[in-house]
Amino acid sequence: MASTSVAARAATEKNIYVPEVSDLVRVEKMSALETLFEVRLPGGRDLGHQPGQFVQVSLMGIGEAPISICSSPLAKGTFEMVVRDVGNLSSALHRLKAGDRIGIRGPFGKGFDVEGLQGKDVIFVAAGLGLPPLRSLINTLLHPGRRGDFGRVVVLYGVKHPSEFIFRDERKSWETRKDLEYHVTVDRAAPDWNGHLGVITTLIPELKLDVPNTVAAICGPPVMYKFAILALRSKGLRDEQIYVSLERKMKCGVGKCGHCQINNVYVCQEGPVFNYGRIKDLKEAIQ
Amino acid sequence: MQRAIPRSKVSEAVTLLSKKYQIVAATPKGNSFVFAAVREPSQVTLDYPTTILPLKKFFLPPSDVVFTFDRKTQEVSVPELESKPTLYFGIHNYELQGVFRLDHAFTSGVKDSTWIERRRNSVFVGVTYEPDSFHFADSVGVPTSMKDGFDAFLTRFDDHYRVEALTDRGRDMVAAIKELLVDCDCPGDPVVHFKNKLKQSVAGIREIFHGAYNHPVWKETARKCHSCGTCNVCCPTCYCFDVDDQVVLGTDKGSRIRAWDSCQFLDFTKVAGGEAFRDKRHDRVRHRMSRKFAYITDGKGQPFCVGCGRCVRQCTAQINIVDVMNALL
Repeated sequence: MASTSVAARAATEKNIYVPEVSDLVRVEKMSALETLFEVRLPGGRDLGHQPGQFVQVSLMGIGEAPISICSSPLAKGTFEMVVRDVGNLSSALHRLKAGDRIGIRGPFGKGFDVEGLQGKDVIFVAAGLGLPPLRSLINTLLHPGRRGDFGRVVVLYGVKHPSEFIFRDERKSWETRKDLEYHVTVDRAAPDWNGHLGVITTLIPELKLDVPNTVAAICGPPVMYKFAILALRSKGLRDEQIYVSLERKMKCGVGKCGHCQINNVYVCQEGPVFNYGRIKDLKEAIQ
Repeated sequence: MQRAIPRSKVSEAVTLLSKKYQIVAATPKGNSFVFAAVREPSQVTLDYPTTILPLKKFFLPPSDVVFTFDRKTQEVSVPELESKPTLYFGIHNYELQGVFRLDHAFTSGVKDSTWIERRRNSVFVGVTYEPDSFHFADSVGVPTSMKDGFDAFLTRFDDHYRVEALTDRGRDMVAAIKELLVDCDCPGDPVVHFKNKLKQSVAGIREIFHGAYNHPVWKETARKCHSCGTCNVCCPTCYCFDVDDQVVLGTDKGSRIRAWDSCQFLDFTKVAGGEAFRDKRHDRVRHRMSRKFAYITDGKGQPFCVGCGRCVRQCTAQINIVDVMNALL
C-alpha cells in the first residue's frame, strides 16, 4: 500500500534540489547579448551528459534556470554553455568572471542518441541561439576519434543580423574543414555582408541529400520549427528522420514541478530532444 | 460485538492518543474548517464538510525552505527534517486518496526526499462524511465505503461512531482508548447520496479527454475563469511548484523557497525569452482538467481527482468541474 511504502522508506534519499558548487574557469563574450561559460565540477569530474541535455544553473540569491550544454561529452574535465542575457539569472551570470562559483544540477532530460546516428548523414538546422545545444552534437560527430563513424555533417546556421553570430573562431575553422559542409545565412544584411540572405529555411531547398540515409536536427526560436520541418519534408525526409530540441520552462528538471509539461509529456524527462515523428500529434509541441 | 465511541467522548480519546502522537484534525475557523495541529482536544471536529486546504499542506508546505545559502561562497545548507509521529484524526477517505496520489507523484521516477521524509511517521484515522452539494468522490472512484490506507476508521451513527481497527497500529490506538468504548450493534455502512455527479463512471474518461482537445467547453469555461489559481491551491492532488530565492536584506544569507504554483497563471509556462506556451486561458483551463483525468494517473490508473469538491466550492467564478466534465461525456 502506498502509505506503507512511503512511510517505511528510510530518510536516505538524496535531495534532488541541491546544486553542486562549481567553478567558472572561463567566461568569454560571444556577442552583444551572449556569453560562453566554461564550468568545472568539483574535482574536475566529468558531467557525463548526452549532447542535447541541459543543466540547472544556480546563483544563490538570484535563482535557477535551465541552460543547454554546448560542449561535446568527449571534451573532458569541464563543460560549456552559452547564455543569452535575457532573464534574471542570465543577467546575473553576465556579471560573473572566471574564478567565480555557480551551482549546477544535472545533466537532465534526454539528448541525442549518438550511437543511433552511426553511418548516417546529419543535417543541423540551427537558428540563433539554437546553435549552442546542437554544437554539443556537432563537435561529437566531428571529434577526431569519432568522425569516421558518421556520414556527412551539414551545418545550416542562421541569425537575424551578422552582429548576432557566435562561436566566430570555431566557425572560421568550419569554413575550411573538408569533413563538414557549412552554410550560413542572415535575415537582414549588414553593409559588409556578402553571404546568403534569407531565413534559415531558404538554405534547405539547395541541399543535395541521400534522403534515406539522412537525419536532421533542428533547434531555434519556437516560430521556426514548423517551417524547417516543412522544408525538410519537401526534400523527402520522413517525420521519423527529424529531431527537434524544444525550449520550455524547465524549473525542477526532475518531472515534478509541472512548468515544462506539453500535454502529458514532461520535456525535462522525455526531451528536450524529441523525434518529430513521436511528437507530431502532441498538441502545443510545435507552434 | 462491534465497538463504538460516544460523540461526547471524542475529545477524551484525542487526549489519550496525544500521549503518543501529535494530532492533526479538522478544527473550526470562522464559518469554515481547517486542518491544524490540535492543542485543545475540544477543538477536534469529526462532523465537517471539507476543510479549506487539503492535507498536502503538511507534506508539501505552501512555502518551504529547500535550503539556506550564502551568496558569497555559493555554499548551501539543507535543513534537517524531523517528522514527529503524527496522527491525522478524523480524515475523509478522499483526503487520504489525495495524499496517495501525491505519494505516487513524488516517489515515482526521481524521488523527492523532502516529501518522503515528511510522509514518514504519518498515521490516519478516517471518518465518514455526509456529501454536500460539492462532493463528487463517488464519481471518481472513491465511494464513501472506501477505507484503504487508514489505520482505524470511525463510522458515524447518530450520537456515536463505530470504531474499526484496520492495522496493527490501529489496534494499538483502539486499545489506548478502550475505556471510552461501548458495545454497539451498528447496522451496515450508512447509505449516502451524492448530489454532484458525473454522468458516467470515471473509467474510460481518459480516452474521452484525448478526443476533446477542441471541444467548445474549454472556451466556454475560460470565458468565466479569472485564472486566479484558487482551484490549484485548494486541490488535494495539484502539486506544481515554483522555486525562488529570498535574501535577508543587508546580508549575504538567504533561502531557496519552494512554493505552490498555478498552471492557470500566464507566467507558468513563460521562458526567459518571453514566450508563454499556453498563452490562451482556455489552453490553461483544458490543461488543468486534462492533467487531472488524462495526462497523469497513479500506478493503478486512477485519476488525479478525488472528488473533494473544493475547487467547486471555492471557485471565484462558480465553475463546477463536474459540469465541465459532463459536457464532455
